[in-house]
Amino acid sequence: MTSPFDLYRGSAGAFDEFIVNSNAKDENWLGLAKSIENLGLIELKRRAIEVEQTQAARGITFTVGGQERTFPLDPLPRIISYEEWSMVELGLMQRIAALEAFLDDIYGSQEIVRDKVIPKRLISNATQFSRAASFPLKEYQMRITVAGLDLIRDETGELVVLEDNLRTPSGVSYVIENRRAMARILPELFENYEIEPVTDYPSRLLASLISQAPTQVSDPLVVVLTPGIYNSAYFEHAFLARQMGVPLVEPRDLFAKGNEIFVRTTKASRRVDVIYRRIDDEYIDPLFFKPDSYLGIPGLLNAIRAGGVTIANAIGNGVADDKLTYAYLNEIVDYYLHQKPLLKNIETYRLEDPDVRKFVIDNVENLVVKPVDASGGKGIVIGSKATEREIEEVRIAIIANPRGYIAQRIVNFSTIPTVVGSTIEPRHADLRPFIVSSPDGRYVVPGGLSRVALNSGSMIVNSSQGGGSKDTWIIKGRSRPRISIAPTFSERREQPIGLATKESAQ
Amino acid sequence: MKWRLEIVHTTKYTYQEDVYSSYNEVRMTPKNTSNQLLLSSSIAVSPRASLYNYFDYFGTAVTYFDLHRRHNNLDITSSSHVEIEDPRTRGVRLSPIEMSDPSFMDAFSEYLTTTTYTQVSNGVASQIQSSVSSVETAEDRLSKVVEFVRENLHYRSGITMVSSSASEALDIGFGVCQDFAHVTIALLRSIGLPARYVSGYLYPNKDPEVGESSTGESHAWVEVFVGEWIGIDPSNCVDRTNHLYVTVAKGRDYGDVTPFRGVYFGGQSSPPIVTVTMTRRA
Repeated sequence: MTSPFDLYRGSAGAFDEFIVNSNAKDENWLGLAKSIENLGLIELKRRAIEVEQTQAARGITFTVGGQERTFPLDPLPRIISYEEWSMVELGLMQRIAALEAFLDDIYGSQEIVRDKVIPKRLISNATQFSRAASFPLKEYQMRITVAGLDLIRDETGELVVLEDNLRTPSGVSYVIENRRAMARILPELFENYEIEPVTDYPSRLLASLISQAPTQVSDPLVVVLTPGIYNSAYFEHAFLARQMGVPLVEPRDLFAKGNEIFVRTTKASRRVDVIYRRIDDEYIDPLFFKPDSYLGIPGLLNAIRAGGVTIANAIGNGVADDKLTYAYLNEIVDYYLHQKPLLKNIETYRLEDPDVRKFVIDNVENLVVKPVDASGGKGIVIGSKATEREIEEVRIAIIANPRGYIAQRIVNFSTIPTVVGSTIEPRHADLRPFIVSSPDGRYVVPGGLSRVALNSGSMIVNSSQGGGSKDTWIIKGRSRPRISIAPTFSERREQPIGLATKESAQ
Repeated sequence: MKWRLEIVHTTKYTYQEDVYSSYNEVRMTPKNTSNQLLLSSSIAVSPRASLYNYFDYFGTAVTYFDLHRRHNNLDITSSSHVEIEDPRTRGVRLSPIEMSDPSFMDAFSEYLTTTTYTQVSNGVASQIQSSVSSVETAEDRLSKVVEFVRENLHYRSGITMVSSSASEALDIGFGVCQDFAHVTIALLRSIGLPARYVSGYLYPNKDPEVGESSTGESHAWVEVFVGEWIGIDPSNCVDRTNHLYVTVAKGRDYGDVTPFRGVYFGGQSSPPIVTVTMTRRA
């Protein structure tokens, strides 16, 4: 009997997660391949289609241009060893802790600017810096309750951070639904493997939200605030509300009165204590932001300021996931935590330096150029795949507004075996882990959402642009890690920056 | 010169049909500055509402209130008592070398960056840039800007709107104090001089008796950094603001200092009736 993996060769230049780990005799990956061989690709696909049909019937969809679509789930999971994941988890928690401190500082006394660790214009010229929301939070409140970072595995096999999403990151509902689907597609494997569960997420989120309720409240009312059914992530908003057992509300269901927020119900109004909002800053409160917006709750921002209600995530977090801020992440982690980042960034060019800018303009073809303040892959130009016209437009845009863009090396990120037609082929995939923070601590969903570019050679994983997803398994016990990802403290900056005078472990 | 002024600023809105709820922010309380001391202040609102006060990002005192009873008019009265003297300047000069120093530009980036209100066309920007290229000190460069504004913008009310930008006002050639401030700020920033928008009141008479009341006006002018911050009033061709100017708020442009801003549900509003009464108290 031949295995569908027999002809699998990985992809040139990229780290293939199956090839590398199976060559290293990783039992989990080999066990997965063996199970697929026993099952047969046809049976695997049959099960996957059946599951997809029930998912569509249950409304597990996202919306693009007003059309509902399912998010295709590839039936081959991605496996990450528990040992590697433990280090990634530490790195994620460290990063969020540093960014939380950064935001507190930026919306407070701006010590990091005063100490000249970062330039002032990084803040004052950031489109997402919210002067209207520039006030300290209460001690029981967090700025980054939910973070969803984008990681990729670079050519050497190391998981590195591509971007930080600290505003309203989405995708966690697919993590939970994908796990349920996989239990029906490959029940055999769930018997043999000890896969770290992901279904805790809603209860962890709810616990964090409850712990951030205004202090005098004994039985806080939490709501999920959605822009409405036309939002691309509406399914997730409804999913999380249902899983947490809290009301799903739209802006028109809420109103402010005397610095408190109330939800209209059929009987009477009820006071709301915590709002988990999935609506952008610009639409939160027409008194401060878009005055012509019909979305939004006038009076909400001042209710937050006065401590009458807690909002998660806080307003103004976009200044910390600005891609130019990303370029200062080493300085930020060092300044607030006196540590080295455990997770690396991709080498990033800051275009305000004229020499760097010239280099980037001359080499756009070999770089990725990104607008600093966009999310969801909007406006990104991959030089190697762009037309001449697009390249020229990017050059002009950079010259006109150097603060508005950054450039990065094009990373040929890792591939994973994916079912394509009647074969298994390598496809590029990223990883979006989710981190829930509360005043008591942090929780990282084991694994996260692996997004796959379904077209051969494509590196665009966004669900709106032909991406699919994979279940991500963090498996304990059996596997031996092939690569050591213990952090190295060997990179030293020549001069310590900020308050820290630190010694480095060798 | 040092004196005390009492200012009563009333704003009356009348609605054609009932308003059933409204959310409002008022920036009408004078600031404490190096030449101005706020002795007392109060804001009164009718219909009655509970008031919430805070200081915003720019250090302006803000009063917020919401109303949930039907009403067809809204009165806001801001009363304050301030002691003002002429600003003391130390005569610190700024050279072109200092102005083009990256750390200077970074430290003042907030007041050097163009905003929606403070945009001028590339043509205007390069015109003013070339006219100051051979000018040495910041103050002389400022004079060039003032001259440009005097030649290209004329005072006339009712032509521009509260939402008009600097470039719109320059295109028309007419504007009010808000437009003069935005145009001046835009030009100053384009030649590398940090500039900010000031809102407040201007006392109309030069030498009033104690106890004498005058009708004052809400006004807007500009502060520019020429080695130190100095106040200029482009719409009145005043090259140094003095004890006649009561400062309420400072920001990047009008959007940061808007005296009254509200969101309301219900009938249309007529234009507000605003009166400012200023009385010399000492």
